[in-house]
Amino acid sequence: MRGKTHCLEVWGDFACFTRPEMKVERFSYPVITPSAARGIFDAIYWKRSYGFYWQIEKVEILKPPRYIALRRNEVKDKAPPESTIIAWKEGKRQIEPLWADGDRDLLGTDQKGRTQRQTMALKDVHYRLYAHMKFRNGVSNTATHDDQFVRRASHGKCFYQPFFGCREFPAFFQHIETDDEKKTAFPLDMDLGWMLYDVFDLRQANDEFAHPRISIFHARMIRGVLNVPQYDEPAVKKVEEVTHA
Amino acid sequence: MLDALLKVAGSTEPGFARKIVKWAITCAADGRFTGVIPLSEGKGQEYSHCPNLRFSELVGGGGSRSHFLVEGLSTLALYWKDDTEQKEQEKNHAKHKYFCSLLESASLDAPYLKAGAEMLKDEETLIAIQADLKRQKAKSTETATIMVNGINPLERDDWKNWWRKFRQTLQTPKPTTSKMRCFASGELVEPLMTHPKIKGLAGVGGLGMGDVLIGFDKDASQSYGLEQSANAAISEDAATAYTETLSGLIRDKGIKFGGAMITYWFLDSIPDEDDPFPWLTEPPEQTSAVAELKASQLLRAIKEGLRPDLAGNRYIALVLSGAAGRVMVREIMEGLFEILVANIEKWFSDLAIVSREGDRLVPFPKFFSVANAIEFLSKDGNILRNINDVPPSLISGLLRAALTNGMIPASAMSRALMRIRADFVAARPPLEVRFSIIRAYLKRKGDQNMGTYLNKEHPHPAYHCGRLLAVFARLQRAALGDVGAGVVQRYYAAASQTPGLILGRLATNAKNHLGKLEGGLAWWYENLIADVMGKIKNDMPRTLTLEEQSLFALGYYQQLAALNAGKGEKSENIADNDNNKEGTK
Repeated sequence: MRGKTHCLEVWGDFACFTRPEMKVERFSYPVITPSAARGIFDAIYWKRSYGFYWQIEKVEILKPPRYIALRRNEVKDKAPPESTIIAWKEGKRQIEPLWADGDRDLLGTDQKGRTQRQTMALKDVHYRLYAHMKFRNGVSNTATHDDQFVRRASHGKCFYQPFFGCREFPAFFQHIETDDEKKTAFPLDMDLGWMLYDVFDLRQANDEFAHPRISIFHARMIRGVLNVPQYDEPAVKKVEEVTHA
Repeated sequence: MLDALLKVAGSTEPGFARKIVKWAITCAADGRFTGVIPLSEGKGQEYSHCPNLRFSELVGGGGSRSHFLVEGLSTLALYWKDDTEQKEQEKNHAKHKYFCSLLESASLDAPYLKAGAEMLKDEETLIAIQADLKRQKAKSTETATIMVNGINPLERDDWKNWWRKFRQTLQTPKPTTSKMRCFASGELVEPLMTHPKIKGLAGVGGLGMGDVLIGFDKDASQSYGLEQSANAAISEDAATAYTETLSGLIRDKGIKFGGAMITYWFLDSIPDEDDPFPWLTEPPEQTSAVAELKASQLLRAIKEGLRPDLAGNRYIALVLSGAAGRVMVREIMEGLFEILVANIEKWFSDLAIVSREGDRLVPFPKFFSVANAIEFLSKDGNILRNINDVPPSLISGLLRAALTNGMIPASAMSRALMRIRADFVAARPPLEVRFSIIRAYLKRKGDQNMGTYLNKEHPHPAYHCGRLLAVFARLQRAALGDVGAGVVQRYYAAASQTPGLILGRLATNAKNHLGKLEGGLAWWYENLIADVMGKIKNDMPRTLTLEEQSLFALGYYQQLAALNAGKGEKSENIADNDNNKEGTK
């Protein structure tokens, strides 16, 4: 069962929808990915207990993709899991700092410390996103959820600030009710190749311990419109589809 | 990008790679050393399917491993410099032993390799090989192979099956095999954990041994509990194909500009003479003007349907550099071949500018010269030929502008402007290409009034302020001759930023200069000044923004060119024709 199609216009100064294959020296896809678009809808209205996921239908680009090169000093290490931090708090384990500075001589490894990395981000992005709620186990009151989303989105409410790929690139949004408000998409044709669709299996009610089940699809932008297949469709290549000889 | 690379990948196979081999150490069928031969007259011979181990395979297993059949002379012949450290020598001895053991094992399938192993194991023979190498001035880092009784194993297939099986034995068995979707092919595959290296970026910040495009060795690069390159699943076949293809493109079509390497390909191959990239960059024997003509002709042929083979073709261009063993992708540009050619033609036409003499257009600058003119200023005002220090970001920005008809980076315009000012202060004639860059910048910002020649009807007063300065300068010269530091040298920088303050003072001086001229000439100058001031009206700007300063610079330059062309008569006719032509485009 599905809800009605909602439209959001989203914009921001920067965005980085990192290509997984260029994740270290980050390079953004030229357009928002379905999973990043889903994240924006999730930020406005979503709870795991509601039993639905946002199914992105299409993305329209309203401004041409323009890149900006950013360089930052980034640590090579990452924060330990929560269990380790709790153990530190309880004094059960020795606290280990996250080394910002230090080299092989000092730390005995080049896996720690920091290094300069590039981000090829997008600047001045503006998209129109279309999506609907897809309920996993059938829900009778889809209209209630749709109304709640419209109410929250049109009042600018969100559970957390939506973002464009990385949390440091906030996304601003406006709920679009009628076609009159719509600007024309920027006419751009691009074959984007295999693009990340989502990291998780959307048919499962994922929690923070969910395992990644990466899905991809062949993305083609025609006249500024990226049509996104439904997650259930075969066009979305998922991990469990084993091809038989 | 990866799927586009796979589309042009030739036949590649994991465990094999293209290599250039400089030397062949030869022996007879009984293993007797017969001499060292430089391949391809010392330039090195390229072989497309040499056995190759990935870095992880080379360092795995605890002991020292070497490649098979092709190795460095330090490994193959224990040939090194006298000052090589003991530790390094021991390592090379171990690798040499491994190399010989590989030859012996492979001799089950290719028996002649046994003689090669015998030759390399014999210490006296090794001394003879080293002496021969020294005589021929070989370097220890150069690569070599063996030839037995005239048989070059790299030209044969008899050892390949053995090699494939042997390589399998080097793979570490994985506890679990989870399949993922390949980002290059879309197939369900077992992801390769460490990828082969891309070669050819050593001159642009990369390492001699190569750099990885896809590598996740640090904790911070890994997400969702995925290890190493499972973060971007690619199969071994696809990884071999993309690395071999990209390395080949860098080698065959790489264009090094400053700290960046540009490479490109077409999804359908095209004849070399139709490849528009060399026209833009560094045409070997043709001038850029011919390049522009070729672009026009090709474009016309495509539009008239005479070249259907080119019409639907697509190009992909990359700007790459190396960073601590990783490949840094700075730009990915892609589009239709037809649009690429049109954009290159537009690049040339936007850069067109009148010459300082005012009687012709400046020859179109090459891409190389544009980047160079922005970045460098030599003592004599000539463009330096070394652009190794041009920042890659500037190269990327200019290339994007050229290939996609994008904006000229504002930083390029401001730098060009700064160089022009510096030229004037030092009493040097500024490079014409710097005005070309500014014109292209303004054109692409939407200034349709910016012609190649003087435009007396330009709507912006900043342009006419620049013209006025040129007239004042010429008037001073007519009145006083060479005065050393003239109006331009002393006032250009200030007038281009605060014309309201400076031009009034110069107008007062102009009265004195007019008084020194004979009647007819004084009258002519007076009229010209009045004409230019008439365009400024009461809008004399007090200060100019950076963009307005660029208009000022072009106003000055184009007025000067018009004056140089014979009191404006000749150039005005050309200018009218030319600017009208542009207007109808």
